[in-house]
Amino acid sequence: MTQLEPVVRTGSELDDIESLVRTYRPRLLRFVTFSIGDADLAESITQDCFLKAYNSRANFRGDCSVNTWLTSIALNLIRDQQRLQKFRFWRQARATAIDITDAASFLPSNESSPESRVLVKEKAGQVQAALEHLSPNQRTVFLMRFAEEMDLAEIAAVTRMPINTVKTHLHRALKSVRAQVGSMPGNLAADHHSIAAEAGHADDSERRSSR
Amino acid sequence: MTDLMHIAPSQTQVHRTRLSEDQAAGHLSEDQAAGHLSEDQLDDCLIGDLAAAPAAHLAACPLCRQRVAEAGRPLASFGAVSLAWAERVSATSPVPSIAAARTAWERRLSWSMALATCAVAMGIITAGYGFAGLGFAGLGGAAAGPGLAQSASSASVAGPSTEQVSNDNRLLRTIDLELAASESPAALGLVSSQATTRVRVSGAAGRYPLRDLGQDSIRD
Repeated sequence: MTQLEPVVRTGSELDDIESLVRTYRPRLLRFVTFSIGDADLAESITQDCFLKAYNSRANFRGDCSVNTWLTSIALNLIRDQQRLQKFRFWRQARATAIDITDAASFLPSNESSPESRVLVKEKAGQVQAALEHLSPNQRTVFLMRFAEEMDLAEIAAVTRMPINTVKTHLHRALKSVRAQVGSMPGNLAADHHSIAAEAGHADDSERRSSR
Repeated sequence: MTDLMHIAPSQTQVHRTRLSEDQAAGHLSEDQAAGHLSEDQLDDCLIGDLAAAPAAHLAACPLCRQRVAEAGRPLASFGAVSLAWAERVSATSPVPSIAAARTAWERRLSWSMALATCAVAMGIITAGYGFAGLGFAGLGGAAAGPGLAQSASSASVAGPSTEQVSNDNRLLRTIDLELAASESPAALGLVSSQATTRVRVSGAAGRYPLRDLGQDSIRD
């Protein structure tokens, strides 16, 4: 009886399309937008995704979260779109550009210093640029893991890939993004050495005190 | 190797000696030699797939924790900024209405159905005209209506039989001969019978030459 409660709750959640859209649209729109790289098309797909979810809400079994379920519907629509684009010779020469850098000024004010905002904006822009160089599968699993914060099992279930394949895609995507963002290896190495030096001094002092 | 932090100092020194030997041989990276997380293990940590031993090392090593935090910072920045962007865009977008709850796929399907219906209707109309022109002439035009009866009569003119052509030729030849005989000078009492014969022959051949009333002349 207690197991049915979440299903009933999500069932009623799915019945109210307005609240469904209000709650989940930002995350879903982000996933679709950065998966396909076209803001206008992403809005259309997100809209379709909600309507499809609403129409087939009876099929939702409640064995995953609503967000995961919506993401899986969105992923199917994205794949349909990509398949369609492959055969559409009159496809648009350039997709509607996404500019997220101005959104940094709308971030929550816990990081209020201008320096940190500039840094956040810069890093976000670098990751966004790096996403364009990933394959569709790598981009999908990367966004699911680092934007949607889904765990590996959820990603495997939604993408219908074996979990080891998901891991492989994630490793490659992360390597590529870290290489493009660039700051990590060099800066980290520098930080690493400074901290290692400190740790070495502490080790030496421990030895001296033990003697 | 990653359990070095939890081993006694004497054992640690032994392990460090071995590690430096391995490092000298080129088998290990600097991080591994120092007992810290390798780059792959750092990725594993970000992905959420870190094994137990590196996880234990991470819990005890501030350096590796800082490295993980540094590596995750651009990803967290991207997550925060992209979500802020999506929230801003969503705030201005309309909520889809249930009345217009038709997905793009359904819209495409309805267009396809409409086109298919038009194509079938055109096909039926075309086939109907063709069928009326070919088949209903033999079955009786009256039953098929005035349009179809007209088509049937035009179909019979288009294809006369050989017997009909020879009958028409015979009839025309008879009429021609009768006309030639009635207009000759002999028939009018102007010349003698011999001359009449000559004139009849020349008149028949000259003024009213008999046409070759074959099938071709009928068709023309």
